[in-house]
Amino acid sequence: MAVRAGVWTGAWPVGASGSDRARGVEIAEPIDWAAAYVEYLPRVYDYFRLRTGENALAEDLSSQTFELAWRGRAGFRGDRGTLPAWLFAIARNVAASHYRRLPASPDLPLDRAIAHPDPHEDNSPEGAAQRHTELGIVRDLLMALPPRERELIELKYGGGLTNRAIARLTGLSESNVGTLVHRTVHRLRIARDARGGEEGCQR
Amino acid sequence: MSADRAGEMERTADDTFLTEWRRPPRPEFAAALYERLNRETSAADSGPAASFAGLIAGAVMLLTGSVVWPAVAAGTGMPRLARAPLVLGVPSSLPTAGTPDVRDLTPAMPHWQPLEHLPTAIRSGPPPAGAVRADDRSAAEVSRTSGPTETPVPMRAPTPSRADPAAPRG
Repeated sequence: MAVRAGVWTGAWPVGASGSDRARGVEIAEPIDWAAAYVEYLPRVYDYFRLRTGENALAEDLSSQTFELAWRGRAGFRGDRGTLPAWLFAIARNVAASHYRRLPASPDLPLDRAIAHPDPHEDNSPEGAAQRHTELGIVRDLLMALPPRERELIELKYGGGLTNRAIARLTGLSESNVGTLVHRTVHRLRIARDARGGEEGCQR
Repeated sequence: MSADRAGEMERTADDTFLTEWRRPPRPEFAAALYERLNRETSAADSGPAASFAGLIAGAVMLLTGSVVWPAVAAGTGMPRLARAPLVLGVPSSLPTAGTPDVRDLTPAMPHWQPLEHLPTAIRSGPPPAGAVRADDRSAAEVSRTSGPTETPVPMRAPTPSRADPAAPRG
């Protein structure tokens, strides 16, 4: 059990060794925020990359997330959630705030809207090239998903969160998260194979 | 088992295409952000303490000025106006260069001192030479504008009147 100053923190300190965790040793050391930064910056960054598709924007949103987290880290209560859940709750809010600030997209014809469901998708040549990268392919697949399933995949494969952490963030049950993720990955795999077949036929 | 390991085991089979796109952030970005975070955090941590210290220092300076300054001024023969406490006598902080010496014209006690607090002998007896009632603006103004060499306007008899709010009633 992780205890800090006599209070249950609920999360293993980042600096705790695996053997300490396995033995259930009470660890009095505080959370190592430098180690947390090293561990979670790549995850938050990839979460924003998968969500936005842009590296520069992902850096900007990651900066905002960690600035908010650093300012509020004194108020982090481990008994209310784990550190990654707390951090990704901030990241989700940052992303939502970013998309709220964007101007409303113009109305598109239905066929174009179906072909490009993301209203903020970059249709420039650079954007088209980006879509043919590994990240672009995955994002194209995600765009065909309903928002809830898309977010589950972003948190799972972008942020690297466990089903339990995702369940806490989204309000779903842990088993429901597992089932939804499993089905969604199956759908994505089928869509990816179909896409590969189409591209092979075009060549 | 760590949370990371558990998360990896939870992954559905054949989902590597959902992880191949991952890239670490640029090292210069990570270093610059970490430096900025620590700089802002240290500044924010020292902010309230610095403000509190400034507040305390200001209060100490104000108290020191109000207590020590009149005593020092009294010992150096500075004008009485300048000897008034800084807190209570705002005019003492005004520049006095070029103005007449009013050391004998200012009241011996703060002008907001009610007259009934004075000893009865002083109130009933003749006013001391050079004394000017503080609420008698006309006399004070005449005296100040006439300069120190002129004869001070004597204090009027302290008869109670309606216009004198400080006078004893009944």
